[in-house]
Amino acid sequence: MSVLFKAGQILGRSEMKKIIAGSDGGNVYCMIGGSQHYCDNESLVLCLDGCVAIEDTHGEECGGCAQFPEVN
Amino acid sequence: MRKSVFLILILITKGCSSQQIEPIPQKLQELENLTVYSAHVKSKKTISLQKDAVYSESGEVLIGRMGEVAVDSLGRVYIADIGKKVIYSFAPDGQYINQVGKYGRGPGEFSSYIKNLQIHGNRLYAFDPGPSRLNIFALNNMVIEKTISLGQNRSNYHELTKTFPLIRNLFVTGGGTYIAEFVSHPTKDLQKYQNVDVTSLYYVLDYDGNISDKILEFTSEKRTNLLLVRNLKDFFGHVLHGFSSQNQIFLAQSEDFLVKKYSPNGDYQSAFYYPLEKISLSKETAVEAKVHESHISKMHLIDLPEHFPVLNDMIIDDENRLWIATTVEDMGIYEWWVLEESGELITRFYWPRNEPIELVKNGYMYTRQTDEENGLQQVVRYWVEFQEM
Repeated sequence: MSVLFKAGQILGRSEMKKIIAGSDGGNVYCMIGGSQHYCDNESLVLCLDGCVAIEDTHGEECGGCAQFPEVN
Repeated sequence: MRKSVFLILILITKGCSSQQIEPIPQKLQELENLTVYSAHVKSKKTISLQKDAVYSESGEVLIGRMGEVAVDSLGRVYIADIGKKVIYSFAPDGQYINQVGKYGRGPGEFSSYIKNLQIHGNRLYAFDPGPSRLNIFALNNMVIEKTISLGQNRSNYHELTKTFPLIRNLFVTGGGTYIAEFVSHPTKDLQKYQNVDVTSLYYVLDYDGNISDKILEFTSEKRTNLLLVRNLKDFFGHVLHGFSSQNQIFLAQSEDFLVKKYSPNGDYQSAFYYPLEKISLSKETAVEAKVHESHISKMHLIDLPEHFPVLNDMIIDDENRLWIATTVEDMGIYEWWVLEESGELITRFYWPRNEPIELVKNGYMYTRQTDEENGLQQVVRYWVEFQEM
């Protein structure tokens, strides 16, 4: 992750999300309708797209996705 | 007082029918203190519902996305706006009073969502799951009284290191403590469209939000791997939960009309069962039930149950009656059963699926209605009257 913090580097969307989540790898969970759901993919971007799609089609609020250290 | 439309609904309760009596499932036969009722038992009372107040947005307040609803002992109505992360309060007659809480990360503010809106005593409790915080507002002045960070000692409980990072639900008990629901399911080597069982763990939290004792563990629902692993509740249902005024815990499985009762400490006490006829689940009946087309299109890929969930919703009112929504052949409606705490039938009535009953309190039933043209939601209050048959 430290490679992302080089002085003057402009961070992309997915890189920003990794920084917000605070870790590389691990389990991704998305908040849908106020409850957490496991995402069966390590890509935050892909998971977030799936979460937003649920909001668009089912009307349940996507509260975003985040990566957490793997526990299983 | 708003008197837009006063509608009197007299709901005729169902009598006997000629349905076949279903045998008691094997899995229930060894359950202790199980009471089995006839599915064709007659109602003791009729119910009448009279519409008398509406709570909705107006020139004074614009509701972004309507969330949960709570009602205090004075009949004031609190509606969470999960879009704007605020709570609106309304007088019993529907007049807007003011806003409670706001978006943010400080005391009395919400940053992720507003759920588990509850009234106990003279306080309004609202859970913000993202930061795991409970905001407690004093009802006499609608001002934040206390904000509690929940489960800060979680790392002391090895079992909870394997559950999802956030608390799923937070229930306020009368004794100044709380019950937190943690969940987990297997995540290794999942196949696409695979179903997994979700385990729920109920832990008691003390006055300061610290975790103390585990009281219950049960399988609460099935989730299906659709990239995001989600509960397809139209197909699988989920365990319904409720708390009586004495903090007894009621859990109802949705695949059978089976309700289990536990003490506040999580000790199993008794159960009751109605052998209801189940409705077959097929693509045709799913279309009738207005299941979302994206789920219908995947039905052939998912290992589905043969029948729709028998139970769909459960509410415990302030007189400890259980209001339970059951599936019937007409997919536009539910048959709601109103039961004594023991499970004995009081009455049954039909009610539209698209007008969910949110809560029953102070002799009123509060439902959520959605305007089909503009999608705007409103809470509608009905006066409830039971009459002897």
